[in-house]
Amino acid sequence: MDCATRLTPAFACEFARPVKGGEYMKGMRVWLAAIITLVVAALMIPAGAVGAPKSSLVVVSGMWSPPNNFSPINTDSSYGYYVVRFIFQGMMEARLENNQMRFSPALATRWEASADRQTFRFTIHPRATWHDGRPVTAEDVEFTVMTISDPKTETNRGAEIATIAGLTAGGKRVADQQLGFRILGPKSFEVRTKVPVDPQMFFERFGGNVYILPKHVLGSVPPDQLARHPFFQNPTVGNGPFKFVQYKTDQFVELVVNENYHNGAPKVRRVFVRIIPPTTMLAQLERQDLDLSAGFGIGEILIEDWDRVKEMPHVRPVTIRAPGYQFMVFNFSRPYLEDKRVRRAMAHAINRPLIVNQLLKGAGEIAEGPIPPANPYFNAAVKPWAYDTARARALLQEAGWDFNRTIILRVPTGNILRERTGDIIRENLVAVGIKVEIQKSDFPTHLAALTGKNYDIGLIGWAGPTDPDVSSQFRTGGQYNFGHHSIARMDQLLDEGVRLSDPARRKTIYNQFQELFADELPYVVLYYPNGRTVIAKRMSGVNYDIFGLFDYLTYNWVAGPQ
Amino acid sequence: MSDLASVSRAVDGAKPTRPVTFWSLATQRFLRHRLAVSGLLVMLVIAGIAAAAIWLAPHSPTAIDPVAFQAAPSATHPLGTDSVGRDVLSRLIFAARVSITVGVLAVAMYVVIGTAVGATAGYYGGKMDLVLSRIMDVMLSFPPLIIILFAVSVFGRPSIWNVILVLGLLGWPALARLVRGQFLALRDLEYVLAARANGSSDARIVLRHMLPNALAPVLVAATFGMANAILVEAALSFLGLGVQPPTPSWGNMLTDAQSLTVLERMPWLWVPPGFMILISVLSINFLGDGLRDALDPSLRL
Repeated sequence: MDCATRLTPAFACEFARPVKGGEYMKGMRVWLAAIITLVVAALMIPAGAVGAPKSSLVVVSGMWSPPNNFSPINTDSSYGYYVVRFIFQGMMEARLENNQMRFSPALATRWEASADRQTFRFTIHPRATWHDGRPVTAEDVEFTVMTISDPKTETNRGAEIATIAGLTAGGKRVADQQLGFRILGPKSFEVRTKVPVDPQMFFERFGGNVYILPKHVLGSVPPDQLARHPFFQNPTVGNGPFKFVQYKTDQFVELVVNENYHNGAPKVRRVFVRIIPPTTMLAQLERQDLDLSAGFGIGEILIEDWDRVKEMPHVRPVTIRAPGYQFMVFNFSRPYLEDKRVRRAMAHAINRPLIVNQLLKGAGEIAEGPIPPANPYFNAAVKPWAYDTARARALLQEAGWDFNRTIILRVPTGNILRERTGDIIRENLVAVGIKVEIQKSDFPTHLAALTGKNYDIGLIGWAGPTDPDVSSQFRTGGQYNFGHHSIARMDQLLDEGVRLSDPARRKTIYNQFQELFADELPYVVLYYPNGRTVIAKRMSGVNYDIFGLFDYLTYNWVAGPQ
Repeated sequence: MSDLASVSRAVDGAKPTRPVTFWSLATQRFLRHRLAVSGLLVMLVIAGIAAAAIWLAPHSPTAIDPVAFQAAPSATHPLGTDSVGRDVLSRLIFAARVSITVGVLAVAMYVVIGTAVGATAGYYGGKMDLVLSRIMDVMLSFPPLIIILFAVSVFGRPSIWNVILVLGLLGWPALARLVRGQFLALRDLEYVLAARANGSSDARIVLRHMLPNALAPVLVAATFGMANAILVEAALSFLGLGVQPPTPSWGNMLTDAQSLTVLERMPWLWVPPGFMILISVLSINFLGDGLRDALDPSLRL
């Protein structure tokens, strides 16, 4: 074929001829065209590779940000754990139903608490195997507990095992103390706690949130080198219903069915977890390139797009009732924020009803405390401080607030709703005479500022909790005590709440905690937003877990034809 | 100016009573350029609006209307309200201040630096030229937006002054090159040699004789630079690294328009700031085109 008559692709012809002299400019243009075409083609590859889920065997889930690794004990965020739970399992899977915790078997078939609520026995499923065919044994569980509790291991699972005998409050081993873990047989073991605990809490934490590591793969890795081990970028030996295939950085994670899964082989053959920014979720849904959003806080529908999702014939919008909250934290190391009247004044000044009714379009709740209204331990008698600017001004004057002082409100970028909340809060505080300057930064910078006490007030969110123990956030020196506060009575109540094992007595303690919280206000809890998620109508058997994430009993997922 | 006046000659047919200078000719030529004149007028209007923002804006740019979030245009809010219930028109008007301030100050800053560096390099030549030119080359080989993003985040708290400072400190090399070229050409012209023979100091030769003759292209470059500065400010504010909320800027107003629904069903959130960016950049570019044609020495007569 002659080059002159061949119209597409024009540049392919040009490559055949030497480009020189007077043709230089033309050559440049051709190269440019070639490069642009290649770039455009490259951009289309990921979409094409994942493709529209036309088959009943393939399901595509969408979440906002990429995970940084797939370590079952140390991935960075909910994004990571969302993927991890397809591949690695704990003893049970947990879900709140009608305010009651419901456990389903994962690796374990049986779990029971002793009468003294201090010893817990687990039996692993006889056919539970690793993806390489080796059996999952009590030794793997012991290895996992030993690894997490090793002081040299980098992990964020410490709090989940901290009640076990022989461990510190951070879940680390103490020298010459007997670890409360005993292997009873190849498939059964026993865990002993320091003191009697609420079995519900123990099963939720140890049973639901500790994912088991393969001893035969990682057993010889020194604990201090585990975090950087290549296995956590390519976790091919898991124990869950799906096997890891590949992770295309910032694009998608591909998972394939585990035919030998002991609770029954999943009906869905392949799952893609795609990284989709919040603003493009809607377009992907419209193109039917997405079967479900990953869930609360990590894969949701923007509030502006919600009405359109409701109009789509092929998807089912799913509202998740307020499993977490957004809050404003006070830096207690600033002397001018130490007076609780100042903090209460701000609670009165912020127009929370406006935020919920207008910004969230009513899809949220207000509560003055860190226990969600949808939680059995919620104290309904504690009412949120009313929006009352006169009261706010009076309190500020009473506390001797310096009305010439400008305070910094730090706002992390990413969550658009939260950024808008920042604008409203500033306006509200300015209205009662507090000068506020907003400072926005990306999330890691923001977190560093909070932990480094380099702020006055800051916005951030929290998922949960399901068990009312919130020591890590509100106890003196807690890992997530962003306000750096130390309130003796609060420490006392929190310690007692963990020590008690009787749910009724715990409830009394946590009721008192919530009263104290509303009085002291280490945070102003701004709102409990409902999760706005979506599932394709062709899917069934999809439920969210205690975190509001759609990776609960994934082997029950069924996808119909599109 | 005296040099220019002496070299330019009276034009036959023009009003003989008034001396015809280079600048009066240029003005004539500029006024004949309709797009340029309309560009200038639009910019004057925008500057006027920015100056009179307090009186023109119907509401405070940060005041929240508790009953109208993302509300469509109405009598109270002629251009609707944004995602937290603030009046779009008022924000648009106040945002003009940001854009004009950034455009003018950033460009003024780098014109001063660029001219000084370029003049030094071009006038002295030799090693001085070599060193300064290589510095310019190095600075020009960085991708500008990436450097700006980096600099803004390193400078700590993002703000309008940071944006101005960064643009001012990074924008000069292209302009310095231009001035250097002009100075290289002017350096060996007779009137410069004459001034040197007179015993004039370097400073006098550069400031009095050479600089006025090198200014025309600088003026043109500065005009185009202003349009660019407005665009960069909008981009940075859109990314959250420029003007901090709640201060409005056309760029950060556009951050509202990131969802498909807003794009398709709430045009009042993004059309006005988008239009203002477009119209201001376009009119400055027309203005620059007009200036370039008017000041082009090869078109004289």
